[in-house]
Amino acid sequence: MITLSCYLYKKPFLESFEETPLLVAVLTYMGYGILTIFGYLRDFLRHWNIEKCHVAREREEQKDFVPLYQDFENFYTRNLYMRIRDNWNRPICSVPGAKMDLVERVSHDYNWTFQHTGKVVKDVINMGSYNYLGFAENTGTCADAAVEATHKYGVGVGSTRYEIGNLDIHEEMEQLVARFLGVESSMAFGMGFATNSMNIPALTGKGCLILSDELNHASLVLGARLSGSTIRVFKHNNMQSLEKLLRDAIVHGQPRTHRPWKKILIVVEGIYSMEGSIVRLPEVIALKKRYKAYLYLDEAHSIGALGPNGRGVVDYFGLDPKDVDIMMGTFTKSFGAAGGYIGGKRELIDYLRNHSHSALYATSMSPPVAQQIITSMKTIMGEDGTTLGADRLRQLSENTTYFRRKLRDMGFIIYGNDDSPVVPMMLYMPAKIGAFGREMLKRNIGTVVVGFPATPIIESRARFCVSAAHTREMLDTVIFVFAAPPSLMCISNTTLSVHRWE
Amino acid sequence: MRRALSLDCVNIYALVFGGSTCDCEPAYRMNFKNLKDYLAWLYYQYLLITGIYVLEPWEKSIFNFILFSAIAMVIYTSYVFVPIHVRLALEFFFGIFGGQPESTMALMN
Repeated sequence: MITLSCYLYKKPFLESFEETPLLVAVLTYMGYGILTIFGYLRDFLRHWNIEKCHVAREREEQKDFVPLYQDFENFYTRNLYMRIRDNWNRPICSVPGAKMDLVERVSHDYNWTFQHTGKVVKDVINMGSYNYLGFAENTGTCADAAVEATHKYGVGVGSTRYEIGNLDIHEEMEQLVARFLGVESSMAFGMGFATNSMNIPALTGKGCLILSDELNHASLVLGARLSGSTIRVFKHNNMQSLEKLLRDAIVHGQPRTHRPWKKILIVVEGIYSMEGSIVRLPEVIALKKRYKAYLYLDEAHSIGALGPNGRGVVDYFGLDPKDVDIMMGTFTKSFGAAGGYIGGKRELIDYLRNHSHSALYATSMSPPVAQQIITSMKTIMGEDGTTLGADRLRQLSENTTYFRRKLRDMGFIIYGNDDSPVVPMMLYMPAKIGAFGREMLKRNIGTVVVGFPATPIIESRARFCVSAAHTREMLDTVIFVFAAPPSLMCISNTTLSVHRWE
Repeated sequence: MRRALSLDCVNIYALVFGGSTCDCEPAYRMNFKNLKDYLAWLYYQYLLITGIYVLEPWEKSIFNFILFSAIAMVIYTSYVFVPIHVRLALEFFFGIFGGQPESTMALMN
């Protein structure tokens, strides 16, 4: 067993996931119970046509057929989600940078339909965009370079990478990504979700074992299922659980025949966006080396956001990039572009170029997007001659530390690692999800609130994404909302709080 | 001129669990301008905790009506029946202790 793992970490690894207080859990279940009863009441009224039904229904002539719309499965959507639907899908009419403009909309029938009033809510502080290094901007070197690329190449490519859509800007970008990550070679794809879901089937197949974390993203789960491999799930970030699964897999082999597995692939993420936790990478690599498994690391949120040089979670722990077999990431979050990449050994990438579904069938990346990636990556690496990249990295880590410390001092339950820029604040009760989103918008702050089914049913949360573009004043404005008496709402206070706030 | 109403909101864990869960509890001072604001805040908390906040006004009225009539019935029942039950219980227990010496005396005689 891997013991004494503390010597693998060069600095303290502080993560906390406080347990739900008992009273809060009871009240949350009670709240869901009351809303379920009212949901049944409304369904009854809709069924007997006492009130107008907005949901899709089959026609009278088709009532005897196999049902097309599963009524009961949409119970939660119809009766709970619809009531607070105005917190999501808000149309934005400016650059989603540190501040943004929202289109104002009202609903006269309790969120079934929306009308635009014609007004625009200006300068809403954006705490929801994954804009970790502040590259979501329409001015500056990145935007100018993207405009030039549009003039040179146009916007559409009109083919796949395999056929005739392989531009020289793509080759340049891939070499730059490989240099940035410290790997031999890399390949980029047009969509981050498709990178995961289309490439895992190319890497594993029947007779392989995938060990995936409990809280992996939907794209990883979809890719694992599409591949046809056996999937075993280990508890979130729990190295004992992972080691037990590895030992069982090697000792017992495949389920009925007991033959050895063809390959074992461990799938983890760098930062888990719903929890704000960072993977225990030193231990995972130690386990992988000992039991001879392969490691697939999805750095969607951590690339550019963690580490002294912004090179992701490998840089954060000070490890060797060659230890991670497949480094995957996206350009959507820290680079202000779109798409994903996979980096690794030259043989691996050459194999993927010929066998990945995404490379063979998906249209290649648009040239201005590729140019944005090139410019932003050069800025982060410091190759453009300015210190903008280093400044932004430092600003991000300062903002993260400040924001987390302030919220924790005020007594809120915050999940996750102290260094992760994703800050989930627990709300728990269903009514608070809607109330929080609306109250923050009234105060010109845009946040993302998450409930079931993206999180467990009682653990709904508000997720803040700290950015390098946020100034200290903006963060103070957000924090002041919670500090101003009378308190915004009784958001659950932590039982471990030792500071008295008066 | 109304006085500022300031309250120390004691952590409800202390009330419910007798303060055994933890020893350092957050206490925050709320400064309300008048009683009306405080009552409005209390009603808002009630809406949030029961989950009524998301419902339409007529559903809120139904729930409030049912809840308050249930509470009113509980209060009325306790007002009518609790004194009687308490008196009967006291009579029963003192009847046992009070009656014992008499019965043993009767047996001896």
